[in-house]
Amino acid sequence: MDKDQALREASELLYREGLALDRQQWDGWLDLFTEDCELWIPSWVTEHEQITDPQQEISLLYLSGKSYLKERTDRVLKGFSPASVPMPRTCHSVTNILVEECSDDSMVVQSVFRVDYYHHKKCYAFFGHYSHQLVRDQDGWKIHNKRIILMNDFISEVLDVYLI
Amino acid sequence: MDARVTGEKVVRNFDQYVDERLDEGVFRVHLDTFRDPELFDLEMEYIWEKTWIFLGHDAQIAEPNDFITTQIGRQPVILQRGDDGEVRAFLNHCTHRGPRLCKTQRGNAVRHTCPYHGWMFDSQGNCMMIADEEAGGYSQAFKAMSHDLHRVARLECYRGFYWASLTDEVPSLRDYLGDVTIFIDAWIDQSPNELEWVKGDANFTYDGNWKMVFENCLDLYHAKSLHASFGNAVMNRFKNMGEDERKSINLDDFVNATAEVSYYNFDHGHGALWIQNQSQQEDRPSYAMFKEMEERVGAKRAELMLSGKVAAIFPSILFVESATFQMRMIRPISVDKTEVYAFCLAPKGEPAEARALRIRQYEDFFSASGLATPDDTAVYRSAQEGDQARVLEWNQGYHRGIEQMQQGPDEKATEMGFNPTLSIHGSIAIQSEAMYVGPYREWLKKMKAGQDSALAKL
Repeated sequence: MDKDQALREASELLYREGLALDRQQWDGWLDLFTEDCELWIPSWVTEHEQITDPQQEISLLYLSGKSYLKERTDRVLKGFSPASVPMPRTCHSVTNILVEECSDDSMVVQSVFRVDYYHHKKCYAFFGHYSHQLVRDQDGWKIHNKRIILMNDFISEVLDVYLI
Repeated sequence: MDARVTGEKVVRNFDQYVDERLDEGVFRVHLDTFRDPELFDLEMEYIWEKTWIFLGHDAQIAEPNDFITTQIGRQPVILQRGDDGEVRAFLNHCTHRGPRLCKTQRGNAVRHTCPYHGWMFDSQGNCMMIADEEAGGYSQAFKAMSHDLHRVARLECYRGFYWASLTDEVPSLRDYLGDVTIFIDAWIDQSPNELEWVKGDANFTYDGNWKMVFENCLDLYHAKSLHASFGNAVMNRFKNMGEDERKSINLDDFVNATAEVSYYNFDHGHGALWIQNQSQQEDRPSYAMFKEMEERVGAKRAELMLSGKVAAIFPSILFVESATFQMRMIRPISVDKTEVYAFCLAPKGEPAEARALRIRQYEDFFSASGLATPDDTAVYRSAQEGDQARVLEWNQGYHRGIEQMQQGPDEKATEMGFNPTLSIHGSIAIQSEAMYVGPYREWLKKMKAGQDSALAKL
């Protein structure tokens, strides 16, 4: 696949992911992931060094398998978790999208994100870099792996999948 | 000298903040302790800056010149292993004009050079160089001053855990900790090689008073209600995946009340709890080494090691084990803002699979990105907001279990040979909230003693 087409298709997927989260269309968001997906936010060890092994070091978030993602969206839907009642209003911006590798059925895509959110009458933001590994199945592109380098890691009360 | 202790001083009657009438079945704490900014400043001055405050663990500064930065109350501190191997604590403040010398949370530095005018200090805190000193026209009086970094008054270590005090007027660390060390030992001794630090920062802040997180860690009552969403998620794991591969803590123990619990208070404000006969012991990461532990330390102590337990060391550090173990260092910022520095210590030599389980359980429950802690932080904020109802002076939240309180040790403590000042023992369904008596007794004692000593200096 040529790089321009890859960039177009990757960009659309990343934008759609952000939009689904902002609109709280949880099923739509989950549909973008493969069953065996991984979502990983490595933690920081020093100012510019992060952990490298989620099995032996503490991550900010390490979810392996779509059911762990669904756990998060169910938590919001059920309304029993004070952390998401009321839900913050979010706005995902994804920019600087670069296709690093691509073939007909897989891509590695780098991007920059900023999620502004409004909670308890205050404005907050998380920002950093995304690295998406995409695979193509019969329905189109899916997220197989989403790795998030979160720059502002001193968490104000809550960090969850809809805020990054 | 602080202006507040030299000029006109408002003399507070601190007795009015803690209403302890145990013989009448009453224990209350005044809501101003959570919402009065002046009282917060006095807490910093009379409690945090006049007692033992936890700084860090040996494993965080394992190599010569390793340092971590932290605070004692409001005051910035460096804990550093010098090039001679000795660990020291100094104020993080250039003696010349004051910039912090260590600006990162941790690092390794043979020397500290102040960026402002270039004064240089070694890793033992000695001033090595005053830039352009010769031509400086300094007085004899200046030359007679020590330019070294200011060492904190006391720094002591209990089995790898460092505490420091800004004043000499504290008991020895060993006396300060007293018998709560039986709990600390129960973590340290899980491996014959003691503990190591598992890398990775997951720190958080919340918009509430520092005492909320201190109280919360001794509170089992909120588990079923506030963490219903966590319980739900765990149940769904069984439904959807056939098992919970993270083997989370079973909140059913709270519902069915098959487990028992002992609550303790110790001198100097420490509290502890110990859950007994809990289900799923084999799902704890520590179980991987349980046989070895049992052979090494005997059945009774091994049981305590494997159990869910908490030790809240007043006022600054929480040792919390629900399914797995987390240390939480409290850093009060203002009356309604608190930072929590969390870290994971684990037995050295733990099998890789148990370590991975430990980490998953840790993130799952304890992290601000997990399924439990965000609900705690949300409710701290909410309580801070609710407590602004200044028509009200008291909450009713310290009475649960008050009838079961006994002086001295319960049977379990006697069996283990430690001596708490107060105990409560029974079914876990008690979910007692009465064991804040000890921490608030210490709060009151320190506030009164701090004010008395400040007034004596007028």
